[in-house]
Amino acid sequence: MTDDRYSTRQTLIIRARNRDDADAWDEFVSTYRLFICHVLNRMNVGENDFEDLLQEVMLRLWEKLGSYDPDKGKFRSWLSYVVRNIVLNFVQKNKTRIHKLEQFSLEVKDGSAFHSGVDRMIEREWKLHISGMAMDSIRSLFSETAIAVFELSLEGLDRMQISKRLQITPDSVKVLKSRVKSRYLMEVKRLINELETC
Amino acid sequence: MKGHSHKDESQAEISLETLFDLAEASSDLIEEEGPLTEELNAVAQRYTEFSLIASGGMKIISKVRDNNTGRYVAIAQLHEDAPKELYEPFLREARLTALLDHPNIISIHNIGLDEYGAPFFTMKLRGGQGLNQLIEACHQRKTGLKPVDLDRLLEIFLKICDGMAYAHSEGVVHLDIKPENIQVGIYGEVIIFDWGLGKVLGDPSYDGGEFDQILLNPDLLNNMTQIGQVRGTPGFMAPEQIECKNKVTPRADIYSLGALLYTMLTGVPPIELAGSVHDALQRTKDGAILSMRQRFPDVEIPRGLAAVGMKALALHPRNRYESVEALRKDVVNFMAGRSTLAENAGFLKELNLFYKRNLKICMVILLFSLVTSAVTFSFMLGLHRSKAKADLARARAESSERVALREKERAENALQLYREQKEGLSFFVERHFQELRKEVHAQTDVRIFENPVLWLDEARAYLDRMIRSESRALWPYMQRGYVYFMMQDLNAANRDFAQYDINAEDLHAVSRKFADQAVSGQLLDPETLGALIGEIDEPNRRSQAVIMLLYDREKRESLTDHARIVEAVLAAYNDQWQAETFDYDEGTSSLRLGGKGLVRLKGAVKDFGNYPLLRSLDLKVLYLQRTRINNLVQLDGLGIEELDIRGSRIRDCSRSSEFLPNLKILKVSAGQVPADDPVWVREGLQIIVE
Repeated sequence: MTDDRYSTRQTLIIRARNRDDADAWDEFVSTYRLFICHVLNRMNVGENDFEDLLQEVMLRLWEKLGSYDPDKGKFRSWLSYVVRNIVLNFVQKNKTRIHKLEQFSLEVKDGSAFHSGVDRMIEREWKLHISGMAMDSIRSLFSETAIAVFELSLEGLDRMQISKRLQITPDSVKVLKSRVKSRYLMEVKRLINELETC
Repeated sequence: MKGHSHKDESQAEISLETLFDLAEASSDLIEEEGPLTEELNAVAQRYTEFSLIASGGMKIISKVRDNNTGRYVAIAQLHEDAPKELYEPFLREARLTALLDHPNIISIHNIGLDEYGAPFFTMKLRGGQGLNQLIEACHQRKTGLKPVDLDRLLEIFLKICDGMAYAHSEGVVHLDIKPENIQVGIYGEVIIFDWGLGKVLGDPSYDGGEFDQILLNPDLLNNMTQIGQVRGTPGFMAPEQIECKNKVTPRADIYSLGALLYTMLTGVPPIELAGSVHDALQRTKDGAILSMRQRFPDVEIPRGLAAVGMKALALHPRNRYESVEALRKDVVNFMAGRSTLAENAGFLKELNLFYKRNLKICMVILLFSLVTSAVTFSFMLGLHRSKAKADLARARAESSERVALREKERAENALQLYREQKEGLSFFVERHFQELRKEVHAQTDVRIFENPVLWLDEARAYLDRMIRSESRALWPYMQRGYVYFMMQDLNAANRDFAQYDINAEDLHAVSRKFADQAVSGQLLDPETLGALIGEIDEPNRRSQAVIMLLYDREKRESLTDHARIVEAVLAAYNDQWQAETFDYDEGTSSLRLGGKGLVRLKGAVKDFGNYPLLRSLDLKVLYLQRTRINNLVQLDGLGIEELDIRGSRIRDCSRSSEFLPNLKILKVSAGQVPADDPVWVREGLQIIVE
């Protein structure tokens, strides 16, 4: 069922250059919306401004996505840079309205330390977001037990603990974990390829 | 979404992130437990399309295509003729670098042996330029760094500090920090690479182990000096690195960071490499470093920063900063305008810096003192509204005047000090850009209602200065275009909008349209301005129409001409207004209004509230017969003496003395209002019922 998903096709960045591709926009929304929600949550954006800012970031990011040029830096740095600037611009423009972000924008003065902190946060959220998408898409390929083995191993449980918890033999823990993990890694790589390259 | 909890860094998140990095870093983890030979065989086909990027002391770096992932990566290999003894140190560098996971440190994708058994490792291919190139570019002119460049370099320096602080926290020292080993990307990425001399402190296999012995082996040394540098770079390496018996600590890196800062500020390393290498090493050991300001007396070098660099460059490790964090903090101190630890600032210096930091406040206070009289005047205007308000206003005005006078002296001192600062205008603008922008917004959006001419002029002066400072930002152009637009100078507005008009595209379009009817230095003629206001049809631009109205009132001599503008603004707020009647007579200060759909005489204005649109005409007489105006509150703030509301929808005059304290004659239709209602009928008010 997954063969066609691995076939070569245009990545989202390429398709974003075509303004009329409605499917691309839909895909963009389903891919990015949650990620941007996470980023805004991290920045403590208040409930009142959340929707506005979400819209703003989505629209501006969509406008810019097609202009990403891999020769000038890696996608995640670019993404962090762009998202950070959109949020900061919005904050500046709506300063009188936004109180929760006051502290945030004041910190801007502290300069690069703050920026690189935000950039790092955004980059990390993006990685976690891709990880989450990869988890979701492989979930249906395995039994619940196999997924549970993998998730428990992520939480730091060792083979014996997992075996005890799920009442399966340590050997099957090893096999299941390795199968899910390699599939998961493939999926992450596919997503990176699909979303971060042109 | 809202319920989503953000426990910082849960274990699962960390693991997921690690897995993510794994997935990204290696293409064949899927066959994790597969036979090693298979992988090695695959190498020959895996990397193709080699093209040389750089050739250094031990290594050559090339760009290759990774066929497994289908992308280009950077591959590091030893020189072809490198002795086998170098394989281990080379692989050690790769493993040591792979230990470090930080955004400012190069990340390793893959380590392996090629088909001939020679080691290689691959890294992310980086765009951008070497820091050495950037420093050279920044020092094109010989009189010191431009503030913009200084800022940029310092931000890069802070990121290098971030990376090094992390490496030290992992027990790893670099020992070869220099501009050539730092890559700077376009989006502000800063990457420290070439960890070939790095060590894991306290790990015998790295620290003082074979590596050093190999390097000390004279045969090998000969071999390697042929290839290039061996144990550091003269000019950047710490004195204790020269003599092997000394134990190397993270403070050796702090020395190199000091040398790096020195190079950033002056364009050359602290120890000139003109003579022999031996000579340079001797001078390093002697600590023969000229201070930046001595060596380059004609170059502008901030004293605080120079002191930071020299402290990091102290001959003896214990005299340097105790950690990278401490060094970083001192640079941040400088950037924030505080004194740095290293310069041992005295009281006067601190005071000076305090003024600099708070300069904007001081300038504002000075401005404030200049306009206090204007403010006071506007308070006085409020006097007639109510006695109580007037008292309060006077009290406030007097106290602000006292404060202002006291502050004026201090502010002038601050300004004087500011002028003496070498950093000058652009440094100030760069550093305070957001505050200046906030200040301009306060002028053009809020204070403008106190005195449009003064604050538009003031905002323009601010923006002139920001633009003159050659700051990178384009926003001041847009904002100055806006200010010129409000001042009806469409040609000037067009010039600025042409530079940048984001968020003012509509005004730009309108100013282009009417530009040929504008004469610089003159107000637009009333017809043109009326038509122009009619073009600004966005509801949220109506506030701007009111600002233009206020400005026009101050500048235009003829009230009859000005009335045309009032009419246009009134029409903008009453978009259903048909069969407009707007008869203004300047001689009698009277206005007759009529027509369908006229419902508002007040306009909602952003950051102000409801503005009485007729106020600028100073009306004495107003005829509102048969209009749809339905409430006297629409007339609040007009100071009318005679009012005709026959046939209008006004049914309630109970608050007339509040809204129209000057009213002497009120004409009403029979039965329109209870003419003898004691609630509102007052002495001196004549009611005529027709």
